[in-house]
Amino acid sequence: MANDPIHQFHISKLVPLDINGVDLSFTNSSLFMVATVAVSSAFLIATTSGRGMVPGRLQSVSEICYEFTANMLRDAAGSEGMRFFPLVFSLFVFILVANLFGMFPYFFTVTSHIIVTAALAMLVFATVLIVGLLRHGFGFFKLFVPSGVPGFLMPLVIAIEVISFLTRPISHSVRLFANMLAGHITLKVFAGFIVSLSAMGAVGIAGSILPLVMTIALTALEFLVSFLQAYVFAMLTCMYINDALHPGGH
Amino acid sequence: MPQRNGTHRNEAGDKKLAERLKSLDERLRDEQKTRVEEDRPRPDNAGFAQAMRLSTEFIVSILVGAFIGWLIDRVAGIAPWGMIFFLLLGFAAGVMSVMRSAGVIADPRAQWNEGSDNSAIAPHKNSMDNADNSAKNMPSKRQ
Repeated sequence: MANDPIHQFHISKLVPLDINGVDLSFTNSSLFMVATVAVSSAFLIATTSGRGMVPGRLQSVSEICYEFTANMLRDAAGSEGMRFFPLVFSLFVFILVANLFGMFPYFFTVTSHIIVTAALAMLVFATVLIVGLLRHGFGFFKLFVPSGVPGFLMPLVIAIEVISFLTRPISHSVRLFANMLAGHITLKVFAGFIVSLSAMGAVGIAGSILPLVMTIALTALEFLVSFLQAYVFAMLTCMYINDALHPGGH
Repeated sequence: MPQRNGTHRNEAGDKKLAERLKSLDERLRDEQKTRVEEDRPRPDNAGFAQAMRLSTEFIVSILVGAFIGWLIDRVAGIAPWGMIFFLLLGFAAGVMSVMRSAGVIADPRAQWNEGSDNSAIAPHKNSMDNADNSAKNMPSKRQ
């Protein structure tokens, strides 16, 4: 049904593939992930291949992307954190391009599925855990032991810290997923109002101006949210990496 | 005569070149300034981003606490005590993470002074705040 706001999130198999009972089909979600990676890589490679000293318009877009992420990472995790620049930059560009792709009519929004965002968040979480444990060994667990806490409060504070640490990958993934999902449903619902109202004669057509205005406003908001969610995801990744590099404060 | 003329012309050319380079420098600097300023996120965006962060973190903390409690109840068979205790702990964790981030807005400096004689978690909170701070001040720093 065209008016079903959930319909846009349906996964359809484009190339069915079944290996030993594991469903590895190439779906529309996979297609848009591949497209996201291809478009962002092609854009970055094409715009930076000229390496002009005075960048052209497109090259400066790439450079602003680079500088934006690099400053974000350097501010949050210090120059040591720049080792993780490829990870943070890839995440930022992937999420940004995937979100903006979702703004095209009839396109699939990859980040509106929690399995995708959860995979990205688990990637960050695992990186933080592994880097923290490799660099600091058990000293990494100082992250859970704030200094200057009286002994009798220690178990309680540690439990709270552990819970807030475990919260990270979940809130990291849910935030992106929920924002994209809710935004696209709202957009679709208001756009659906226009269609159903305008079927009701002259009064309906006059009335449908209101949801039309709302849809336009929501589209603008969704563009903002697309950028903001990519930014928030990358920024929190930087902060978590900072925790892995410097557990227990600075 | 021709020699003098040549050097004269060269000097004039050098001067002209220097002037042109200078004006190019200035124009480039202006250009860069405007371009960079346009593309940076405005501080209200940062506030919006933070609002989203706070709300999800608070809710998810409570849910994670409840889930851990439920798991412990299942494993140890002490229902409902694990759930009750860890739900409260999750709530505390949620409040803590919100306060940590919100403290950045208030003024980290003021918290330093208050925190030292106030609560037990204050010293840790401050160190975390500084980390948060550097990350979150970034957009406003660049305006």
